[in-house]
Formats: sequence, structure tokens, C-alpha cells
Amino acid sequence: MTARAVEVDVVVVGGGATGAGVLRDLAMRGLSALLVERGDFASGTSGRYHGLLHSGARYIESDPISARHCAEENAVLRRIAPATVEPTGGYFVATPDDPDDYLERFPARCAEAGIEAEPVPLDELFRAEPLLNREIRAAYRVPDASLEPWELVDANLASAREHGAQAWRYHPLTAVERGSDGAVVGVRVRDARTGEEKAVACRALVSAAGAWAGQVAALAGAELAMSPGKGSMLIMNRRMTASVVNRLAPPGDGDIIVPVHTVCILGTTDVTVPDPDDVHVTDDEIHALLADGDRLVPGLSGARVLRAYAGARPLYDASAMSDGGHEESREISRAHHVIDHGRRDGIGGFWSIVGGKLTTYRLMARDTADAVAAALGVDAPCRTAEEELPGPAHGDVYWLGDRLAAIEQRGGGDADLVCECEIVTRARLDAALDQRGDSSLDDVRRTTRLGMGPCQGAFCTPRAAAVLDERAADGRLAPQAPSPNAAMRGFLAERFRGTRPIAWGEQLTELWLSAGIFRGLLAVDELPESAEPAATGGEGTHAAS
Amino acid sequence: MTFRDAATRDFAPFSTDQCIKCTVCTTVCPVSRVTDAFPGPKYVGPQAQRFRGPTVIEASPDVTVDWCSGCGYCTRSCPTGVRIAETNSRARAAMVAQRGSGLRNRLISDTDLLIRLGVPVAPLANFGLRNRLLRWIGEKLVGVHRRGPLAPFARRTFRSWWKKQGRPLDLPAGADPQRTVIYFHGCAVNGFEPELGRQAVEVLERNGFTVISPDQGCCGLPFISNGLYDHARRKARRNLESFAELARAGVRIVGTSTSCTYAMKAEYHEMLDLDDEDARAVARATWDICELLVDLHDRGELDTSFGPMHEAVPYHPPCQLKSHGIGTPAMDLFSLIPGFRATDSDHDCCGAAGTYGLKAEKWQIAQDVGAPLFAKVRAAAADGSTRAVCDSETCRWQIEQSSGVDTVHPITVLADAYRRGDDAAREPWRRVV
Amino acid sequence: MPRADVVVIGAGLAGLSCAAELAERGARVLLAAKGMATTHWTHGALDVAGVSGAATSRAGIEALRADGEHPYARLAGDVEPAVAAHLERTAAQGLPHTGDLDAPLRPVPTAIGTLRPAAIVPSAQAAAVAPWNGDGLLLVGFSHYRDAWAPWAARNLRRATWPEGPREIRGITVDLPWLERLHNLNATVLARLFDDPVWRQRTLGAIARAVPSGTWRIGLPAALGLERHAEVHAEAEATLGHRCFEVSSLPPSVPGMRLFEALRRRIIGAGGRIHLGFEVVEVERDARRVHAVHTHAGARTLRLLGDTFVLATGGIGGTGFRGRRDGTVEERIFGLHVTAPPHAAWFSDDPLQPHPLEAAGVRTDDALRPPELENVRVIGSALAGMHYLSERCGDGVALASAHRVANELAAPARAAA
Repeated sequence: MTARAVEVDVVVVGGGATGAGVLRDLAMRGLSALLVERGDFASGTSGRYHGLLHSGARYIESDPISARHCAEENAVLRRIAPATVEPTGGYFVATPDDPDDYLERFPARCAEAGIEAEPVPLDELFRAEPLLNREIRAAYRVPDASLEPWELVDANLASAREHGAQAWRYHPLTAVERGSDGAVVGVRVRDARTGEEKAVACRALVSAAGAWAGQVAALAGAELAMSPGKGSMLIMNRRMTASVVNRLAPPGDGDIIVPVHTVCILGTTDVTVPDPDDVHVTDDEIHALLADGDRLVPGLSGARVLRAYAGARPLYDASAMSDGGHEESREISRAHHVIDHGRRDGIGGFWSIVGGKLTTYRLMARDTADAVAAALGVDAPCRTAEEELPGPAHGDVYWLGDRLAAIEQRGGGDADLVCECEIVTRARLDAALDQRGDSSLDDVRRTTRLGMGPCQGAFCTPRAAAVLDERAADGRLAPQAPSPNAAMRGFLAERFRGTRPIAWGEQLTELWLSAGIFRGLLAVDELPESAEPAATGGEGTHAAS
Repeated sequence: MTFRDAATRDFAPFSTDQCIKCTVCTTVCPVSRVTDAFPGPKYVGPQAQRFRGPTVIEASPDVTVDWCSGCGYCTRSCPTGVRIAETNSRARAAMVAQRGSGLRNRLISDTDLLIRLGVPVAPLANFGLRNRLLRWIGEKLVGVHRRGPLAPFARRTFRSWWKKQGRPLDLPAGADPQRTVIYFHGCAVNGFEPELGRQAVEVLERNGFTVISPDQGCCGLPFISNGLYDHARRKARRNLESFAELARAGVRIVGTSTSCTYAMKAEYHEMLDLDDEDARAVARATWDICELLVDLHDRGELDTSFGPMHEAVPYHPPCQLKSHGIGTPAMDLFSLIPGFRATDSDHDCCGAAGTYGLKAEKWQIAQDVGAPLFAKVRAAAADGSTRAVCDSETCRWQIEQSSGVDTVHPITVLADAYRRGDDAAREPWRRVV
Repeated sequence: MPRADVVVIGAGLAGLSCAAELAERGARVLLAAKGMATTHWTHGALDVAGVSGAATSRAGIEALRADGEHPYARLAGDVEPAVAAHLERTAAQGLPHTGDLDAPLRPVPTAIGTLRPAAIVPSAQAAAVAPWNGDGLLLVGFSHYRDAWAPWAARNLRRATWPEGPREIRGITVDLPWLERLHNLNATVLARLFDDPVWRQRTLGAIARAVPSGTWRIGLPAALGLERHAEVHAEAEATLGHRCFEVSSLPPSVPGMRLFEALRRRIIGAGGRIHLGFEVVEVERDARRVHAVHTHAGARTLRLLGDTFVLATGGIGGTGFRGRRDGTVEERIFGLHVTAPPHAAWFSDDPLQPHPLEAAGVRTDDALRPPELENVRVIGSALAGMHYLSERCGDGVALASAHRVANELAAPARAAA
């Protein structure tokens, strides 16, 4: 494979919120920067979280530093990324199972962390949230909100690009090149879809690989002990609450409900796993989540679950206890750490940013960029908190009724919907593909919500694959994009992966309907690897005239 | 309110959790069959519901749900039990609560008021209803279609007849509650078809019931259909207050309108959230009159001395009757009348759907929905039938106006058959033809 | 509600054909169903035994019955009369089919351009199973209609192994600007548009202008009319000058709607009763017998009395069974025991491979009686032991089991009458 040489000041590894934030920050300070991501942007931890913009109240006791960070960044994000935040507000509620002493300390702790926590009369709470457990004995309102991670990462990348940075997805890091002084001088990456190797010369390397930071560090020759904390979550078929609802207790399993778009997320377990790619959701986790969910919303365990998924928290044990003494990873700090590998390991020009939360990604990026910029002799200050992020092209995504209202204005109807459950129009799908013509259906899903509703792709998958084919025939699909057939198979497999662990009740019936469609009606199992390339003539659209 | 109720009928929008997106409902919707304006039950129902609130619909993005006529075919065809039409009704109510309702919908829903205004001046009012110019003006000013099926006002209300006759308003001393029924005449009988009420009372009394008719008003259904739930609740309350105690004592409530009875049986609870003791007692005690007579027959207690009626009629079971989930009791009763042949219209909906077919913007849709039915009724008339039969008043008026064929309630047929039977008993030598 | 000889629960192919046969044979039958079901999701061909490798349905049945657990092990003899009766019944309702158990299973194209075997198909699909004899295949989709993907399907089919297949395969999308303004467009809507003679003429004219020269069989979206289907199909062939067949796509299935309607009409015409929206919420029974089922009816229930109750509610897909979180499978009406694999073994890893759970069902005796209740019969997909998707046997089992039961139950009913 031919190596293509590119030269930048900084290479950022990891296309989650932190990496995108670092890229933007560096670019805004005038540094040339390139982000490389092994998969799709925001497909790791950022895309596999519960969608909560923390008020910080969740960590007042377990992690006060993190709590304060969250409180500050919460306000910043509402200012710079209003289109990605749905201001749902949040409640902390004390169920009969929650400890009295925690409830007593809660207001004072919130005040110490700078978090507004206002007591809410119970009748008011139940009027706003009629499904909540009537045995809840106290409630506080906090500025929690729902945050759309894919839009947020997209907006950061878009801003970074406006400032001259580049970002490559599906480009895993394969090697880190170091000079005679041990400092980083470049990296090698591979285009995962074409196999092409690319060499990138750089003066600095930032690992924003989160839970995978240990693997990146290893490529550079450093040892970094991460303790990935697997967090499993369930997607419920509908919103059950209008606001975020947390238990008034130290963080536990099924203790938070976050309304996100048309669904709500019930989270989150926390299990230390050796491999951040192990995001398998176990039956035990599912049962634990549902049992705890019932304490917040009685009957929740009988409601329809759409999917189960898990993300790997980028937890780093700052006390460097590498003896693996942590069963419960909640004990390890959520606060972030910028690790200077020059000082720590003698690898100049290499930093890892670990720990932290999606809510604090900008702060993490700032601290990292401060360190990198200082080392590279750039004294431009951080401006990411002042400058608003570019908004998504389709406007205000974060009102629940937004998509319905938009289509209702045109008289409603299904005719141009590719995905009916999530109201993904053909135009929206085309816009997403115009933006990134090398997308798989799963990539398109992240920015459009294609296939994320109850039927989990039963109807939209062939429709969307046919759209890919149409674009392929018109030469509007990037050469490295998966073929429409591969995209279809891949999407079906991916949707099945999340449905299978919770396939009971309606979702099992749904799975059977989709099996009937894919195997009975369409015989997708007989689908060739890829269709014959488009012929030169005779096919395509014929005018009716 | 909990999520355990998802599978129950307590809050229809929760049932959308059961939707597997299978599209069956889209194949049965009579409205989307004839117009592209209505996006169909799947779109406005379980799909749109995902974009409304979790429990209360606060910011309603809806527009097109208003084209739903509420016929309920979607609900009755759903393989997974989604209460689609009921969810749509809630969505419409949220839309109306948020954006208000025009004068027209308030006016045509308030049948109590219309009767109060219309009956005392019936000749004049009926002239107005027949006058094309006035109807044209009404369409332009109010939005009631000039050809919308409006029945002429009666010259006297059923209630005033009832009171004048000194008939009982309450359970008479010594009467057996089990053999006593409240006749719920509804607005149709009260203001437009009092003769049907008299026939119903005759048939009930003939079968040994003491018939009483306590204070009552509109059941509230027109308001429910127009998304005016608060108005509907006020109407419902009046009836519940009047009936609940009697219902608890074992008195049944019998109606000749399948729409009113279904409202009391199911919709007070399912749409209006009336779920107290009174509402439950009244719901359990409410019967469609044909349903009651078939139940009587099943127990061997129905007077079946029907005289022969050599007549063939088309019978149209209205949508609201189908929502009752009791089959077609009128057809079971007709089979007891010697010589009488009723043919099920085998057509889904007449289009009227209460007030839907009156509205200027929906009249044509209603006509198109019912067109095959009207054709069948006309064809039957061409074959010699002199009337059609249907249980629900607005459907009757729609069929009658659009087909030109007299359309009566099944009770009218039964009353005729009893009369024939009596005639034959009195004059056994005369053959009734 | 008058007492019935037989109460059939479920309105899929099994329930409908069982009720139709019972009514035809003089039994007082009531079909009660919560809603419509699987007919509306199918491709319209009759899947009797489209087992891969089998030359005919008969050979497929033989292969399947070798597994003693398969419903065909006891129903093999019922398939032929059941299929014959079904074809006669549907033909009489204006929905003729071609093929029989000895008709060769031939590959027919799907909407995405794969091949699946079929032998017995409605007339509107007959051109897809006839030997190609040098004809070309032209797949046609319409602009603005999202569920026909002709160019993609054609290019996939050109990669398929298709012995004795078409001379050449092409796929075109015909521009129909008059579809653009529509808010709603699924197969049902399209079929109703085709019912309209004016719309039809205009549309067929546009298609005709796009057909290249040569001899073709034209695959059109399975939406060639509902009420005037035969007329639409005939006019399509006349206008286009080629044989035409329907290619089924995503639900709603118009061929399935026609089938449902044909059987519904047949039941009513033969004196049976059919009620939708009748959800069974309660069963009145003693240890061995069911006396009545109650369906939801407003604030009360409706009592349906019968001598025998036929369970035709389907499996998991048809919603007759419910898979529970604890890994058990519940039969929803009578709580019959469902034989199912252990929870951990419900699924295969590949969503396109058969899942072991598909074979879950109720085990019965030869009269299709479950062990628990003597006056209950189980028909269709609720029966244990078949993988109806990979074996393509669901329709055959539905018809054969319905016939077995109707045959048994009609005799005494008629005698009593």
C-alpha cells in the first residue's frame, strides 16, 4: 500500500466528543490539526451514553470535582450548543428505598458544588410526571437536560473544519513514530475500508481515545492503565417522563431516566471490564435495570424495551492502582486528567486525556489544548466557551414534536418517509448522504435516527439500501462506502444485536415480523455480496411524457 | 396512572407501545381510502404519538389528525391491540385545547342547545334547514355544508311528551330494579325522532320492563368527537349523577343510539378519564336496545310474537355498534321475524361519523366514504325494498339523504313486527302480506 | 350472541379457511379475532413446502414429514385436499391461482432481487413461475413510490444463480409525476389508484412508453387493484403488450388483502359469522372443556358459546404466543403448554438464519387436540415443530390443519342439523 504523507501540527486520536472538542480548540488557536477515528465519529463512548447533560448533582457526593465541572459546563453548553440540548430539566427524587441521610445532605452539597437544586412540592411533581412512583417522598429540580451526542460531535467537527482542521473517520491508528529523542514525530493510520496506509507527520499527538487510551498509549510505547467501566442502558419505546429523573441516592444501576428524542434511556449499570470493546449487555444487567426502574416508574419493567446497549466509560485510576482492586468502577473519579507522557514516560509531544464526562468534554479539551499549545509555543487562549457551535442544518432538533410538526406543515403523510417510526424523510436521508457519501446505514442512523424506532429497521432498511443503490448508480456514493447490499446486511445485523438481549413481548413479535419481511418476503439471505454495477443504458428513471 | 396499564384501556396512547408497525390499520381506514388529506391511522396514531408528550400532550404538533372520523376500524383490525382511534381522539382534544375550536364545532356539538332553540320554532327552523339559500349562507358563515344531513326538528320533544304523559322519572315504588330500565333517549329521539322513542318504550314494556326516564342530557359524544373534552365531561356528569344510583341498584340504561350508549359504556372512561364509582356503575349498566333484547332472547324471555313481514331490507351496522363488540344483534332479532330478510350492507362506514359529515370541508369525504353503501341501498330499493335499517341516527340521516331511501332504526322494524303479530292474533283470518 | 357449533379464534389463513370450510359444510361457525393479521404481511404465493432442493411441493412435504415433530408428519394426507379446496374456494371468489402440489417449484424474484421458490401462486403472479423460454424480465418501479426498487433488484438478479431463467433482466423506474403530490403512498393506496380506470389508463400508458423492445415479462409492484384486480391485471397486459406479474414488497400486502377478503366473503356467503375487534379476555372452562370464551365489549364482556374452540391465533409473529422476559412462551388464550427451546437458545447469531424459537408451538394429538383441553383444536402456526420461514410451509400447514379440523367437526354438526 502506498503511503500518503500529510503534515500537521497535532494529530488527535479519537472521534468522540473529547477528540472533536480538542480538534476544535486547537484549530481555533491556529494550530493545524487532524483527527483520526477508527470507526464512525461518536460511535464509541460518546454515541453510547445515556444522553444526559449533567447538572452535576449526580456526583455531589461521590465526585465533587466532577460535580462542579458538570455544573459549569452545563451552563456553557446551553450557551454554545443550544440546538443539541433539549432543556427538559431534571428531578432528583427520593423513593422509599433511598437513604434519609443522603436526602438531608443533598441541598447543601448541591449548593457547595454550585448546582441550583430547588425543592419541588410533590403534587407539582406528580402533575408534571404522572407516571412516577407515588411513594416518592421528596423531590428537587436541577438543571439536568437531554443532550444529543451525535449532533454535538458533528457541530464540533464542523467548527474545527471551519478553522482549517481535518477529521478522518474509519482511520485506525496503526503506529506512532518517534524521533531519536523519543518524541512523537508522526503517526501511521490505515483507511479501514480501502486498506490504504497513510503517514502523518506531526509535532504533537493527543490521545482522546477514552476507554481505548491504553491501546493508543501502547502504540506510542507507554503504559496507561485504564479501567473501562461498562455502562449498560435500556432504550424504552417511549418517553415515560418529560424530564430527566434521578434517584436521590448514591449512583446505582437503574437510577436514572433520560428522555431522548422519542424514547427514554434507563441507565446505567457500571461494571469494570478488561476490554472496552466488550459492550455485551447481560441478562443480569437487564433485570437489575428494570427492577430498579420500577422504583421510579412503577410498571416500567412491563413496558416495551426497544434495545439494550452499553458504553465503556473512559475511567482512569489516577491513584495508579494497577492491581485491579476495583470491582465497582463508580469509585474511581469521573474527573479528567491530562497526562503528559513527555514528563511521565519520556515520550515528548504526546498527551492523553482520560476520565471525564461527555458533559465536561469542552473543559477536557480546553485543558488538553492548553497543555499542547503551551508546549508548541502557541499562546492563543481558549475561545471554545465563547464561540457558539454551528447549528445543525435542519434547525431545532431538540423539541420532541419537531419532526412531526415539520411534516404536518406539509400536510403530513408517509409518502416520502424512509423511516416512518422516526420520521426520516427521503430529503433528510439524502442530506445526510450528501454530507458524508461514504456512510454505512449505521453511520447515517447516527445523524438521522434512521431505524431507531420500534420496528428497528424492518421497513426502512430496504428503502434506505435502495436509496444508497440509486446514489451508487448516479455516482453519488463514495468509492470506499459499503455497497448497498453490504450496508443492508450490516444494518440488519447491527439492529439485531441490540434487540436480541431484550427480545420479549412486543419487541419479540416485532422481531418476528421483521424476520418475516427479511427472510420470508425478501429472502435477504440470498442477497449477493453486491449488485452488478449500474449498466450504461436502459436502466434508471424513465420520463412519463 | 402506571405503565402496567399499557395493555388495558385506561389510557389509549399507552397502547401504542404495542404497535409493531405492521400497516394492517392502513388497509382498513375508510377515510384514507377516499382522501389523500388524511395520512391514515398508522401515521396519525402510533407513529405521531411518539412525538407527543409521554403522558399529557403539551405541545401538540398535530394538524392532520383532525381528518380522522373516529370510526374505529383501525382499532378493531389491529392485531396487537393498539387503541388507534382512541389515541387519535386524545390527540385531537390536545390540539383543540391548545389552539382552540371554531364556533362551528362548538355549535354542532351542542345538540341540547340546538334542540332547545329549534324545537319551539320547529316549522320555521325546518324551513331554514330545507331552504337552499339559507343553507348556503350557513355554509359560508358557519361551515356547515349546505347538503350536510340535518334532520328536521320535531314539533315537540320526547321529554315533554314523556312528562305530559306522566310517565315515571324515577324508580316507581315497588318496582323491581332488575326489570326496570332507564330509557336514554339521547338527542336524536328527543329533538328529531320522538316516534322512535315511543316505539322503543313500547317494545321494552311489551317485554315486561318498567321504563323510566330520569333527567338526562346529551351524552357528550359530539363534543368528544370534536375534541372538546371539557364540554363533554360536563354533559357526562349530568347523566352520571342522574343514573348512577339507579344503576347501582340494578336498573339498566338502554339506548336506541349505539353512539350514545357506546359513549357511556366506554368513552366516558377511555377518553374523558371518568373512572369513579358512578362512571363505572353506569358503564356496566348501559345497553344498546338490540343487545338487551338479544340477551333476553338468549335467556328465553323475549316476546317473539312477531307477525310475518314479507320484506327485504338492507341493514347497515354502524361503526359505533361495531365498537361495542357485540356483533350485530339487530340481525339476530330480524331472523326472528317471519318472512323478514335483512341483508348486512357489508360496507364499513356511511361517512357521517356523527358531525364529521356535516362539516363543509369534510362533507365530500363523508359522501365518498359512504358511496358504495348508498349504491347498495339504492340497488335494494330498485329491487323493491322500501326502507333501509341502521342503528345510529346520524348514519340513518346520512344514508337517507344520500340514497333517497327511508332509513329506520331496527326497533321501528320490531315494533312493526309486533303490531303485525297483534293484528294477526286479533284477526287470525287475515293474511298479512 | 347465538351459540356456535365451532368458535374459531384468529383471522389468519388457518382460521379463515377453517371457518370457511365449516360454514360450507353446514356448521354454525363464528370466527372471532382481535384483528387482522399475517395475511396482510405476506407475498401472496402459497407456501406449502418451498424447501430448498425440493422439486415440487409434494417432494417438499415428503422431506419435511420425515421429521416426526413436524406438523406434516401427521397432516401430510390433508395437504392435497386442503390445497385443492382452497384453490377452488378462492377461484370462486374471483381470486384464481395456478399450480398444485406437483407443479415445479421455480425461483421467483423478490422486490430486492433475490429469488425464492414458489409453485402455487395467484394468477397475478403466474407469469413469474412459468418457464421463461427466452423471455426477458423487466422489473418496473415508480418514481415517488418508495417500496419498489426495480433497478437495484434487477442488478441483484443478474448476479443470482437462475437456471433456465430470463433471457435478460432489466429494472426501470418509470416517472409518474402524478404520484408526487400524494401525502400517502403505500401498496394499498397504489392498488386503489389502479382500481380507478382513468388513473390506470394514464399510468399504464406511461409504463408502456418506457418498455424497451423485445419480449418481456413485466414485474410490477404488487398493487394491481383491489376490487377490480382482475380487470387491472388484464388491462395491464393488454396495454403493455407483455405478460405481467406482481412483485410483493413491504407490508401492507395487497395480494394478502385480496386473499383475506375472498375468504371473508366466502365465510359470510356460506352462512358463517366473522367479527373483528373481538379480543378474548376470559375463558370459561372446567378441567377438560371450554364452555365459552369472553371477548372485550365496552364495560362488559361478550360470551361466545360453542361446542368446540379452534385456536388459530398464530405463533409469536401472529401474536398467539407471547415470549416473556423469564424465557417462557405463553399461549395467550387458553394458556396451553408451548414447547419451546430454553431461553438461551432462542436465537441464532445471524438474524438471517432460522431461530430455534421459530419451532415453538403447541404439541397436539392427531386430531390437533392439545393435551389440556378436549374440545379445543390447534391449527396453523401455533403448532409446534416447523420453521415456517426457512421451510416455506406456513400456508400448507395452515390449510391442512384447518381442513383436518373442519373435516372432523363439520360431520357431527351436519348430522345434528
